Amino acid sequence: MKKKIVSTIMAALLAALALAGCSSPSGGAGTATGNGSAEAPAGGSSSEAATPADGGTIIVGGLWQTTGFMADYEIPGSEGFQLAVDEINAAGGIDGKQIEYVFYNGQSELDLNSSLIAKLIDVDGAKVVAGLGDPNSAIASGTVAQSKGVATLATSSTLPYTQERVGDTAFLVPFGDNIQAYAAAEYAYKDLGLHTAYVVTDSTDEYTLSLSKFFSEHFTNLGGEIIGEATYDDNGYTDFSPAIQKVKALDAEPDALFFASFTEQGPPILKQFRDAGLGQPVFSGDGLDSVEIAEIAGEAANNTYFTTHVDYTESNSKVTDFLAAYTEKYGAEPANAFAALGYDAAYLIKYAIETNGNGDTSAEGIKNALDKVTDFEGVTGTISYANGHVPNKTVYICEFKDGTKVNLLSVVPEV
Amino acid sequence: MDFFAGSLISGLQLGSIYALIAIGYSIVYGILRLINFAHGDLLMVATYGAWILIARGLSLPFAVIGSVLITVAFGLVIERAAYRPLRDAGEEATLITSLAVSIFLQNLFLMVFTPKNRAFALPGFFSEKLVLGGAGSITITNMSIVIFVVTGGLIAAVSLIIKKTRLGIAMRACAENSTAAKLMGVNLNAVVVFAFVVGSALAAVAGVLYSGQYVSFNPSMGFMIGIKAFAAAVIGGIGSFAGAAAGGVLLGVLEILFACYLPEGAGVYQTAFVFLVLIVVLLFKPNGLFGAAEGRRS
Amino acid sequence: MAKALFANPLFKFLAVVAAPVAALLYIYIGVAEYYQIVVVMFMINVILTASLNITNGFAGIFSMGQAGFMGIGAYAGSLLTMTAELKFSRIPGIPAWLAEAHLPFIPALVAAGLAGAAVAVVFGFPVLRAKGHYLAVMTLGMIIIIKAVLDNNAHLTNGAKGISGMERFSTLPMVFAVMIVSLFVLHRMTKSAFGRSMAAIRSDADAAASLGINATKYRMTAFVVSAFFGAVGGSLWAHLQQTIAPSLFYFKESFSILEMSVLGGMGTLSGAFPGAAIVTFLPQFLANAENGFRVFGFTVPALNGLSNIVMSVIFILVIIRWRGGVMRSSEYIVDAMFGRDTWAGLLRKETYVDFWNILREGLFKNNNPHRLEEKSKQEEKDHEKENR
Repeated sequence: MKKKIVSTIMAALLAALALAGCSSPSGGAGTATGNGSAEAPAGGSSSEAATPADGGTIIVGGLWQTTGFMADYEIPGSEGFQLAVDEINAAGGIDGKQIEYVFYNGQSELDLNSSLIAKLIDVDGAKVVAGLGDPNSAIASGTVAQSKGVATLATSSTLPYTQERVGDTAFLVPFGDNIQAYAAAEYAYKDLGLHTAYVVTDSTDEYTLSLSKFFSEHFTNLGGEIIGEATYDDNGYTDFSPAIQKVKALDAEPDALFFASFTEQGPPILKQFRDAGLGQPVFSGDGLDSVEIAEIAGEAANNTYFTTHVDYTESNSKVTDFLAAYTEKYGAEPANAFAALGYDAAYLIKYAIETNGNGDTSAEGIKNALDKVTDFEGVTGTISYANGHVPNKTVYICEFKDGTKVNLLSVVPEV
Repeated sequence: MDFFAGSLISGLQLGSIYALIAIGYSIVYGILRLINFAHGDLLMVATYGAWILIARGLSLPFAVIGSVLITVAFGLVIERAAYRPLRDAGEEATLITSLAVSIFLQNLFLMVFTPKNRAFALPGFFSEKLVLGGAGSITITNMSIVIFVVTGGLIAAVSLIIKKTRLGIAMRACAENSTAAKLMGVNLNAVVVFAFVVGSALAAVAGVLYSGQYVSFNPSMGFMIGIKAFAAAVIGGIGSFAGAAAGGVLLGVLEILFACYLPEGAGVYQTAFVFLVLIVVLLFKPNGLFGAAEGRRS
Repeated sequence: MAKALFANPLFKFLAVVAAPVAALLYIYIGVAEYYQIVVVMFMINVILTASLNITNGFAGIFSMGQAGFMGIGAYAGSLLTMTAELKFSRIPGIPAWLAEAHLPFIPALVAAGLAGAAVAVVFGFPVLRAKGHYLAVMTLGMIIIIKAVLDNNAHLTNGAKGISGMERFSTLPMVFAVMIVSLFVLHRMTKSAFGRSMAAIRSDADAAASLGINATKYRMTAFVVSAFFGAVGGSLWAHLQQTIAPSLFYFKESFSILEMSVLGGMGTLSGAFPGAAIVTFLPQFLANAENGFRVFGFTVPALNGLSNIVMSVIFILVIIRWRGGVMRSSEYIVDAMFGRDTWAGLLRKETYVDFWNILREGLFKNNNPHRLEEKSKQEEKDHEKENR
C-alpha cells in the first residue's frame, strides 16, 4: 500500500513536470518576482531558428542566478531588468519595436549557465543577453555567446579583464574591481589619513582575490603600507579568530582593516573583530553592499566603509524615479545596488540601438551599437565603452552608521 | 603567549560545539551503526527555529526551548520515516538514505528561506567582554563563557543519563549487542527514539550556540559542520561517548591552532586539515583514539 | 510477448544501437547547438556515472568523492591541451616545464585519466582500509583536500580563480567515441575474472578471502579504474565548458553523480544511462517551469529552487520504492550494446524471422479469434524450439 502511494506520487510529479515543461517551450516571458506574486507567462512567439527578429520585436535574453549563492545579487538585478523592459515596452519599445524578453534561472551553476545561454541564443533567438552571474559563470556563458557573435551584458560581475578573457562581445555594466578598490584605497589614505592596513581575503573567489590585490597595489602606490594579510577559505566559513589573533599579535595595530568578502561574511566578520577589541575603520567593496549587514551587526558595523554602484539617496531624478517605480512594482525598495544595475542594462540596450544602431537589430548590429556607446546616463552613473568594455564609472562610497547605510561621496577614479 | 591563549580559547569554543554534535552522532551510531548525515542539518533546523521564534516575540530562553522541541520533532520524524523502515536493509541503503535526507532538508529550507544569510542579533549581554589578563589583550566574551558552561553541563548531564538511568543502560546494551539486549527485554525502538531525542536536542543547543557566537546562518551551514563533527567523533572513537566529546574538543582546538600558526596562504587548508587529521588518526588507530577494538563502551 | 521482444537480438540492435545513433546524427547535423551541448553533457555524465558504479555498485566501496577525480582530470587535461602562450597569460607564475607541456587532445585525455588514477593510488591506501560509512566520509575528506590543493597552488592552477580558454574539443562525435570506448572497457572488466572476484568480495568478503582472493588488491584496482574514468569525464567536461575552477568539483558535483548512480541503478553499468538522463535533462526541462506555469488552470507562481526540491524528492522516493534504481540489477543496455548475442544474432536468419513474428503477434493481438488460434499454435512451436 505504501509503495503504491509512493509510485502514484512519483507518476503525478513527473506528469505535472512534463506538462509544465511542454506548455511554455520558449521559457515564457514571466516575471521574476521577489515577493511571490507572478503573472502568467505571456507565452511569446517562440522561434526555432536564429533568424533576425522581424515583425516588430527584438528578442532580448536574460540569464539570472535567482537561486544559489548569487541569488542575493541577481534577484534584484533581474527585477530591475524586468521593470525596465516593462517600462520600455509601455513607452513604445526600442525604435518602435517591442522587446520580447526571455529569461532563465542559471541556478548559480556553471554548466547550466553555459547550456542555457546556448538555448537562449539558438532556440529562443535572443540577440543580446544580460545578467550572467558571478565572474566564472559570466566568462563561461560569455564565451559561448562570443562564439555565436551575440553581445552579453554582465550586471553582477566586476571582473576587469572580462573583455580580454571572453572577447569583444562581452560588456560589463558595473565598474571593474580595480576601479572600486582604487577608490577605497584613495579614500582610506587621503581622506581619512590611514597609512597602514591589514587585509583579510576570501581566497576562494576571483572577485575577492582581485579586490584585495588592487586595493593593496594602490594603497601601497599612494604611500601606505600593508602590514599583514590573512585569508580564509569560504566553506560556510564563520570563525575568523585566526585572522583576529594574527592582527592582535602584531607589534603595532593597523590603522585600517580591509575585508574582501561577500555579504554573507559581513555580520560575523564585523562582529567578531569588534568583539575582540579591534575597532579600526573597515573597508570593503560592493560585496558588502547590503543594509542588512548594518541591521544585523548593529554597533559592530559602525566605522565600516565600502564602495558601491549607486546612491539611492541622491536627489538625481533618475535615481528617484527608479526608486519610485521599483517600489511600486515590487512593494519594497531595492535590496542593493544590483537592482539598479539590472535596470540600467535594459536601458543601455535601448540607448545603444536607438543612438548608434542605424536600425540594425541583428545580434551583430546590437553588439556594434553597444561598442559605440559613449554617454549613457543611467541610474548607476555614466557609462562609456569607448575605452574598453569595462566602464570607468562613478564609485559611491558608503558607510554603515547606527544600523543603516549612509552615502558619503562619489568619486570617479583615474586609473 | 597571549596569542596562544587567545587561539586556545577560540579553539575550545569551536571544539565545544563539535563535541555536542559528535556525541549525537556517536550515540546513534553506537546503536544503529548508522551515520546520520542529516544530523548536522538538525543544527541548521534549530537555528532557523530559534530565529523564527525570536522574531515572533518569544524571549530568548523560551525561544531556545522551542527550537529544541522543533529540532527533536524533526529528528523523530526522520527516524520514523526514513531510518526505521531500513533497519535491516544493510549499510548502503541507510547511507544513501541519510544522505538523501540531508539533501532534502537543505533544499527544503533553501526553498522556504532562500539561500540568503540570516542572523539573529542576541542581546548585548553576550557581547560583553571579560578581560583575562595578558596586558588586556586576552579577552573573552560572555558568549564564549556561556558556550563553555552549557557544553560542560550538557556533557555531564548526558553522561549521567547514560550511566545511571535505565534507558541509558539499555542504550549501552543495545550498542554492544542489540540481539542480546532484545532477548533481555529491551525495547529497541524505544531506545532508538531516546537516542534520537538526546542527539537532536544536543544538536539543537549546538545550533543556537553556534549562531549566537558566529552570527551568520543559512540552510547549507549544517552539512559542513556535521561532517567535521563526524570526523571528530571518529577521531575520538565513535560509539564511545567520552571519545566523541574528547574528539570534538580536540579537533576544534587543533583546527584553530593550525589556522593561527600557519602562514597566510595556508588558510585555505583549514578545512582540509581536519580531514588530514582524520585520515592520519585512522591509519594508526582504526577505531579512533579512545575507541575500543571490538565491544563498545559508552 | 514483451519478454521475447526484448530478448530478440534485432530488437536490441535497433533499440540500443541504431536508434540512438540515428538520433545523435540528427542532433549533430540538423539541430541548434543548444541541444548538442545538452546531449554531450549527458554522455559525459554517463561516463562519470558508470565510473562511480564500479566502486559503489560492483566493488561495494561507497565513494562520494568522484568530483575530486573529475577535478584532477579537468585540470590535468586542460593544462596539457592549452598552448604555452595561453598558459603564460592565464596562469601567472607558471613554471616553464608546465607551460611547455603540451599534448594533442586524445593523449592528453589519457594522461588526465592517469593523473586521476595516480591520485587514487595515493588516497587509496588510507581510505580503502576503512569500510562502509567511515569510507564514505573519508572520500568526502578527499574532495576537500583536493580542492584545497587546487585552490592553493596558484602558480600551477591559478588557484580559486580558475582557468578558462581551453578549446572546445568535446564535440559530439568525440565524446560519443570516448563514451563507447570507456563503456566497452568497463564492460569487459566486469565480465572478466576480475569482475567475478569483485562480486565475490562484495557478497562475502570472508568467503572470498578463504578462496584466496586478495580483497585489498581488488578494491584498490576498482578504485583506481573508477578514478581513471572519472578523470577522463572531468577532462571532457572541461573541454566542453571551457572554464574550470576548484569550486566546481566539490560536494554538489559529487552528489549529482551519486544521484545519477542511485537513480539509474548502482549495481550496473547500464544504470548510467537512465540515471544520467534524468539528472541531465530534467533541470533543463524545469528551467521553464521555474518561471511559473499553468497547470489545469491553476497558475503556479515562480518557485525558485523548485528543481532542486523535485530532484531531492524523486531521489528519496526512488530509494524507498526502487532501491535498485531504474535498472536494478539488469545490464540490459550495455549487454545489448556490446554483447556477442546482439552482433552474432544479426547474422542469423532466425533473428529476423522471430522479430517479424513477434511484431505480427503484437500488432494483431486480440483482434481475430482465428488469429488467436494460429497464435497459440505458433507459441507451441516456439516452446518446442526453445526446449530443444
